[in-house]
Amino acid sequence: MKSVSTEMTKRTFARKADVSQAVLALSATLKASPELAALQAAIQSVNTDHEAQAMLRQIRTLQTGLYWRQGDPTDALALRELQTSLEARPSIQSYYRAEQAVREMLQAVDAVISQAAGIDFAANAKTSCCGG
Amino acid sequence: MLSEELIAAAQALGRSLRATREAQAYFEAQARLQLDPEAGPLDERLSSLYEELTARQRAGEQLAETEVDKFYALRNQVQSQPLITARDSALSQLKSYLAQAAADLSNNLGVDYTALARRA
Repeated sequence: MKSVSTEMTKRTFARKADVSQAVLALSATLKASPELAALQAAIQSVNTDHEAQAMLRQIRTLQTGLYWRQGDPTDALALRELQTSLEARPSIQSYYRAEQAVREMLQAVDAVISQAAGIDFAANAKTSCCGG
Repeated sequence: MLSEELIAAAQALGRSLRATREAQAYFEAQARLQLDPEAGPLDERLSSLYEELTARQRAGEQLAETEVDKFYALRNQVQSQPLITARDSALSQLKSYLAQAAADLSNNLGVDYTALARRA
């Protein structure tokens, strides 16, 4: 029994190492894709867009105030206007476009993984508060 | 359109996930359940009732209390079925394993893989 158990453990470890290796190989291939490079560049642009950063800080302040009901009733309107202005900024528009391209690529990748695995990968990989 | 290299890497990950002890245990538990003349149809009835009720709720319908009671009665019946609880337990363990693999992928990529790759 002992030798069987040891053999099973060895086989399990080998399979988990296979998964880790496959994750690393897929990560490397994805990281070399133009879609992911564009997203990283877009994130960098948003981070160096000082006006966008100031707007994001204002938005967070207004959201916190509204959440704790500390804000003025006009804050909700100011928040909506700020969000509209932020979304119109070229850096944010580029970010949304780059994120959408990565989303489409990862959804296609996930369909391939899921078909080979026999189970929907991303849909079942989501952790939830209720263990579902 | 995915590159051949990307398709090959995604297929390799899928195949390695399928070969894990967790996935094999889930597939076996699911197969045993589907072959059982009592548990299989019971599981399907609960799934289809759940889909129907949640779809109607999403459409704004207020469900009758008797319908909700019927659902919970069926769920209780399902939860006492050993083949169904075995399948659910195997699925729960598989989900934990998949979540870890997805988290590793996210860490390597610097983006939330699960949030971006899930289809609506």
